[in-house]
Amino acid sequence: MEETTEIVSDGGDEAAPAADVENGLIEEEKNMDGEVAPALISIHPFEKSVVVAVGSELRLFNLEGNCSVSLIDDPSGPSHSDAIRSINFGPSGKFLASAGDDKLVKIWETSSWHCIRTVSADKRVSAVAISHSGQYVAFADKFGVVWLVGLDEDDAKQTKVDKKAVPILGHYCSIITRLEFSPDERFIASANRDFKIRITVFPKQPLKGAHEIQSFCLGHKDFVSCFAFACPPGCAHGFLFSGSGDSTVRLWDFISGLLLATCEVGAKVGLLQYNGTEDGYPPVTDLCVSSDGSIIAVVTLEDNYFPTSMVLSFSKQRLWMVMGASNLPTLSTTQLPTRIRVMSGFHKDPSDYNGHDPITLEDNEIPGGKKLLSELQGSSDVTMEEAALAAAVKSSMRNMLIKKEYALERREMRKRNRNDRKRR
Amino acid sequence: MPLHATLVFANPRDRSNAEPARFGRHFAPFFFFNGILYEPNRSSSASKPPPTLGRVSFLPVPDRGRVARGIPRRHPGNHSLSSALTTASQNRPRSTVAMSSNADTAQAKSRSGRLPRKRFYRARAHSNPLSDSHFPIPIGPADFDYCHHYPYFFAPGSGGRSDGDAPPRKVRFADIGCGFGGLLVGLSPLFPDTLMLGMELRDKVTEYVKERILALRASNPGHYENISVVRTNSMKYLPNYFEKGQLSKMFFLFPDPHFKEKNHRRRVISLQLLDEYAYALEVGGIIYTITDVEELGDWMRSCLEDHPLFGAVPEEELELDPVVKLLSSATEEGQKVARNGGQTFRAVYRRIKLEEE
Repeated sequence: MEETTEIVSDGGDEAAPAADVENGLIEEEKNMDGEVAPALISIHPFEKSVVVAVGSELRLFNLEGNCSVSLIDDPSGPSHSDAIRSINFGPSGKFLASAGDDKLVKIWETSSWHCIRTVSADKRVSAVAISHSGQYVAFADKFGVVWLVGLDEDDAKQTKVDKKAVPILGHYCSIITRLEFSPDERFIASANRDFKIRITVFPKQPLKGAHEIQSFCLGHKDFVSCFAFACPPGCAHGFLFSGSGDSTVRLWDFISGLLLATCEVGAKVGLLQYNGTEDGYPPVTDLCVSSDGSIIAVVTLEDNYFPTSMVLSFSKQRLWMVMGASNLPTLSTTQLPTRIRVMSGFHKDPSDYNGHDPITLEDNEIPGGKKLLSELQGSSDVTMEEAALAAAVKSSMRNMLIKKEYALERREMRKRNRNDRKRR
Repeated sequence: MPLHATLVFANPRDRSNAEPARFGRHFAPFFFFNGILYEPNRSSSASKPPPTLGRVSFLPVPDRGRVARGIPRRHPGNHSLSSALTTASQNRPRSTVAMSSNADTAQAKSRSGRLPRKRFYRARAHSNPLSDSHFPIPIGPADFDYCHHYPYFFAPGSGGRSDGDAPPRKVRFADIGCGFGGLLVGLSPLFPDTLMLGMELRDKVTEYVKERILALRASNPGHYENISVVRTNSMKYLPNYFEKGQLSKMFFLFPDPHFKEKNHRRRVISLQLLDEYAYALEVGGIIYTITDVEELGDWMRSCLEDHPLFGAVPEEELELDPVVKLLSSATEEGQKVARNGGQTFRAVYRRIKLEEE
């Protein structure tokens, strides 16, 4: 087990050259009132399809059939009208969940791409996760409450709207940034902006509430922006990797909450090329881990091209990245361009590393090729916009990650418009 | 500084918004005339800020408010002129001298065993638990500074070991929202070897409790060494202070009722927060709540009843528990309720293991 631990912490080193090549990545950091919504990407576990969410649009490309697919929404129910903040394929690949600022959680079935369930939430949703068995969908709102919806198998063919979700646990009044089920589905992990990661036991009958807390992973000094589970072979439970605004990636034994290792990503990347205009190191905004924990890709806020979201495809060892955002001030609101890049050349076993660094694939080398790009990017020629897009996205993302201080007059107005009443 | 100055000159007869920087009435230009204090008619609004004086050395007369209110003074032998002079000259510089010097004298006084005076630590009764106040929080329970809080048990540099091979002591009792520290002071002699921690959100009140504890330690050597207070938002940061199953008793005495429905989420007992309290309490640990507001009492009882990790403690056991009597009598709020003849509503529950289905 120590050996895999070493590989895992070397993964941090591997990520640093990856970050070097691409100069940092950004991610789907959620924030209150963020007018700018970063673009998100997610890939089917068996690499059957790729989904990009920008603003309120969900763009889908079927890699197997090499064609674009449109999602068939439920005509009677509401469709996404505001920025989508989180998309997640279930590990089984049967469902896709999308949720966002319009207080809707939509669950799509991946075989027919129908929306099988629309759940309305009280507050804007900031994170969504599907359990491994596909039975439950958990989503978290801005106020720290995690809700659970059961998916019944026999409802798969019909569409249902407004089935009630049950609150199962809550962080006290802090935005939940990421929600994940552990690989064996015994635990559910939630990270929030108050530097905490809470691991809760996921009971057999979760609709009654998940009350027993297994542990807290405390150690970050700033908001926790992202985390991922990894289960190296030979290890019983697996580990948790988490990245945060304090520019570190930490490794935890989540059963006990012990901090096992810390990687100062900001320092490493900063040494390479950081112009140091702000104080402190850049925050880590996204990370993704291969399932056995041998490769970790980490995103930090920096110049040049940086993905607002990325995902690692386990089988083919490719890293898919998307950069883009909605409601950028410089671009018109109807345009929602994004830029997709793919990196490949990751090796599972570092001893096998015969001098090939991970490289970025050219546009026509990407599986799906130009068709995928034109479909998912929203317009065919994005290349010349890239630098401008990058700068705009970067500045908006930077604003999103910091807690906003409102002026006094705005504070009063916000208090008036706040909806705090109990759900009837 | 300017903030303090304007506060001092707020309407002097309005005692409801007391601030510690304000000491009773203050004197605008005054005249001494044959030993009688003559004040010109003062306008009720703040006319102009007091002239800023440099640092004034402290005079030993502590009474500031009493002279102004005409209450006979406690110190014999000080006739009115000199005392008026000293208090007058102390009033204004007091307002401009920073809180730190206040703390210095307070510490000096408490080291001599003098208890702090509550009137100088008045604060609003309500504090917003949702706001992100800036106070230092330990990263994790291991970072909690035991040496600072319990110097008797943890000599600095000894690494927290009190005696030989015994495992380091940890805090076992937690008083959430300890207010002016009444319960801690009452519990301390009952359990002299148990470390207790009070958590309070308001900083002035925390300062008061700190000074009170120091004064008690000074005047009763060897006693009251097991209590301490920390300023923190326990609703957000409880897991930062306590490990899993560390506490054996938790106290929630007369919490803020937050009557409005939109403020119900600020209540300190709720189903979500009980998860965290169940995490910090060991199995078999007891949570004590008491309130004088019936609606809140019902709410707390129903939350505890509905939560799968808490079970009710039977009445017979409560009769035997020495702590239970302190719940309604040890604290300020409790004494006030008793004075007014109000009714209290108690809910005492035990942390149990989750029953497997």
